Amino acid sequence: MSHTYQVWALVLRYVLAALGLAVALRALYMTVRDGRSAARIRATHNSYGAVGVLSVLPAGKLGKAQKYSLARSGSVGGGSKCDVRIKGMGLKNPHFEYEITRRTLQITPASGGDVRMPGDKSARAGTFSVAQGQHILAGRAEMCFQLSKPRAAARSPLNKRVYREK
Amino acid sequence: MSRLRLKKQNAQAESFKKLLYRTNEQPLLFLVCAFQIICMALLTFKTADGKADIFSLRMLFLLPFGTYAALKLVSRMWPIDRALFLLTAFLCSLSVITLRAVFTTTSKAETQALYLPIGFAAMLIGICVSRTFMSCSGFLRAAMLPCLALMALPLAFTTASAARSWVKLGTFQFQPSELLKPATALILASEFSRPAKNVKAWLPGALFGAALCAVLLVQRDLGALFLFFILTIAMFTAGTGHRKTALCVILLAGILSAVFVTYADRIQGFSYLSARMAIWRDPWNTDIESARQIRQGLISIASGGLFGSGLGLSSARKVAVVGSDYIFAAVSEEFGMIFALGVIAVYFVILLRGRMTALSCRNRFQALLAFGCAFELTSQMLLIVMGNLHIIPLTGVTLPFVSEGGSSLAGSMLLMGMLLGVGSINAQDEYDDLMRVSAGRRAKT
Repeated sequence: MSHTYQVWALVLRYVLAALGLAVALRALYMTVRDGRSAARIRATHNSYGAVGVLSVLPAGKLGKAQKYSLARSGSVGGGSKCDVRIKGMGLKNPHFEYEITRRTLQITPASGGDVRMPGDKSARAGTFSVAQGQHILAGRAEMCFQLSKPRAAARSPLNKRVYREK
Repeated sequence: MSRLRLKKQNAQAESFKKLLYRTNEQPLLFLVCAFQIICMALLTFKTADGKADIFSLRMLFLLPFGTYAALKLVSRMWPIDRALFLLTAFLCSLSVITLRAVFTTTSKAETQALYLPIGFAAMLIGICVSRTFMSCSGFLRAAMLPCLALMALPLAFTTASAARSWVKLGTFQFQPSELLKPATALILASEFSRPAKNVKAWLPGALFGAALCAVLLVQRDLGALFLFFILTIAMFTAGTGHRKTALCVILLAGILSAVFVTYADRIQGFSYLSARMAIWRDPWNTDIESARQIRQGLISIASGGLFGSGLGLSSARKVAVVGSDYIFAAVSEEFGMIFALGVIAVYFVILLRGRMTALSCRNRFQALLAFGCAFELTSQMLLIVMGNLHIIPLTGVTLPFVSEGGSSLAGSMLLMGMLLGVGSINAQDEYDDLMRVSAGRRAKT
């Protein structure tokens, strides 16, 4: 190889090192910024990702129901491991797993978690379905789930840009 | 009262819309293309006779144009994470550039450049796969046995190397473990995201992971075994939350590994392990080929210094198997330690973005899949880089996207494709949420 090439290679190594570092730093900056936006969405918009609402009342008591947003699937219980954490109702950690399919709620009781429908003599075992508006009893709580209103707009078309640049 | 409510909903919709904005990826695209153009422009004139190198001249135009065109094409089809795509393009182009800089007379760089469109196709397949499997599926459970059979296929073929991990079909050869990494992430995500009463419900997934590790142990491919083991443990812990169970398994595996390595001499087929460990402990006082490889790798990294020896001016080709096992040493010598640290940082950014994608997912399966893909890529990087730096014994795994080889590139691109696919579903869901919030506001007016 020529002497000119060697000189250029030695000079440009500083440029290439800077470019490599710049790529990493720019990517890190983008990640931190996007991560903060995503965290704010999760924290401030309680309807984010929600497809339904779970209303919770102390069983057999009157009063205002506590409402919790439901994503398509998750766990409900009294502990920190649960997606929907309901304190003070005697619920296990987790008490039951759920999945929203079409218009019903599929409930799978967790180990030690008793879930029953009103009128049941014993706790349900295995996965069972609950329709909208039906009540279920878990721990000391009575729960009822409602689906959110149908979406006003159709899903975005495949070639639609959903991102905007800052 | 209704006016206040309306005002609140307007503000909510506007703030939600702003939060959906992603950071502009154009500067990153510019940096990646600038890197590709400068490197290929320099390598065009790296010839003994002073004539332009045709391959480098072609890549001077194809690499940046291909990056831009691929980004635009995929972005029009799905709302993917463009930063992740650009980082992948950067690493893939680094592979071609490094191979061309180190090997001027052989066709390794040309072969790797030919693999790039195949890798891109694998990425598209990965995106389609993760957009198809939106939740746990019986189909994925049924795929366990075929995957195990594919992993065991190399046992039917004999190879010259100590690890029997390749399948040779005439002139074509591939490594099943590389292609099974994305399949394993998919199957384990399906198994460990199922709602379950107790730990026994996740037994099929755990047994699948254990069976894969057992097959790899018989094949003597210890690097891949380690990767599949930590992937299974990580996905089990992330999916189920049973940290104590995972810690117990890690402890048990650690004890068994220590006993295994100590008594490897007495186990048929593993007698080479003790010699390898002895060479790794002291590579400077023996003249065996593998010790020479370690010495040359370390000298290569040290020779690069902070800024490198200059593109095409290194002696990295003297390191044995530098294209795959010691590619990190070649990158360090060509571009310097600052650049090499930047490359490591890029992999950690991929992990962070994978984590961000996983946290934004709407269901557990997708979250676990995103986590599994990002974790697999980063853990593989750590394994090979620590091996090159002589922190741990070299295991023979490849640096994702950068090491030469079609199987490695296809497997890594499939993983990245699945991660991009999950991110695109998140983006569509966020858009639908915005439409729902805006529709609620319009209904009130």
